[in-house]
Amino acid sequence: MQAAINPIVETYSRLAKTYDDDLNQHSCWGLAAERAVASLVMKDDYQLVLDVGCGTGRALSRLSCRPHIEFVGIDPAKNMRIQATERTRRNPNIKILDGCFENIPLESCSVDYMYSIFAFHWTTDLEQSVKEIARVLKSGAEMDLFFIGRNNGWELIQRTSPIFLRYMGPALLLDSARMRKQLKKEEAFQLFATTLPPERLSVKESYDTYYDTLEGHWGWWVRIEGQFIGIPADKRQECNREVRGAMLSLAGEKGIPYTIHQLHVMLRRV
Amino acid sequence: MKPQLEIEVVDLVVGWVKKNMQTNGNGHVELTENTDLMESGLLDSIGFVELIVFMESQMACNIDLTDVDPGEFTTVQGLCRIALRNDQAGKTYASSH
Repeated sequence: MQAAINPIVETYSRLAKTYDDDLNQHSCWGLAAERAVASLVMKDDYQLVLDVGCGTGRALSRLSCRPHIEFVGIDPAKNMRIQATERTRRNPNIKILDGCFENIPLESCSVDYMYSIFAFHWTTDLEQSVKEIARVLKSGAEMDLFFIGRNNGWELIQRTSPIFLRYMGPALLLDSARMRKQLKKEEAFQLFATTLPPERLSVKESYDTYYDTLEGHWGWWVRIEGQFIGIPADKRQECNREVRGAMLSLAGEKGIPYTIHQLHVMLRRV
Repeated sequence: MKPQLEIEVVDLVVGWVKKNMQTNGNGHVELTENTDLMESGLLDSIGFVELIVFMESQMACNIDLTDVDPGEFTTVQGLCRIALRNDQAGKTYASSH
């Protein structure tokens, strides 16, 4: 049986070649991802480190300077994997594989450290994902997962939802919302505590508002395009024009605000 | 007990929205059965997903949003009417099969 097509994965794959463009990388999401990667600590006793949703391999290539650690990056988007393989081809300690949170292509109890930067909210099955995470982690493994929380991007969402409703209709709009698993802090803790030791788990929550120009924000739109493939092709340009107008209507002295509600799930040794 | 009348469903939905509405950036918004929940910023699309799940569980029916008018979908009264129509259609289908 052929697996169902995931529009998020397909869109990321289609846009892989432009994903590392300056506009995206210098956008609020690029900056937030940089901050998350900069906070990761590679310990000497790690043997296998896993990056879930490795994308084009930016974090892997930055973190893999320790030759004694084996790094594995997994991503379900084929063209993202191609970009990641190309970027990391000089690093013999990095492997790029097809995989996702719901299906990690590694042996049980094999991973010392897992991290993921803004990918977990795209999972299609939260329960299966936390089971799979628990399966591959060694006892005593550590983990840092960064993903968006329930109130992410609220300013923009308030202004643009009525527009998307008009172009998509209620059924498609709600299908699109179901693609994002945006949890509250407490929900995230409860979810991960079903499969991982609660005494070693913690969840940190942050709200950071980034101000940018219209073009600056439009630069990261590639990251969410997959949710809007239900909009008829002949209406997409018109819809984009209205969305850009809604973004502009938020502009203040500092620019157009966008608040990233970030959840950071940590698993640490006691 | 399962709500049967529009007024009962409206009460249930208004109660749920009051408890779960978004507070970010909203000044005081008076919630009536005709308030546009999306334009007013009280619910985002995930909020609507959660509300539909709540209504389906309370009314023990599936709410089909295919071909629903967006204007009807965003008010409490409109949503309740959609749900009651679905409930009625489900009963009609069950009694004829």
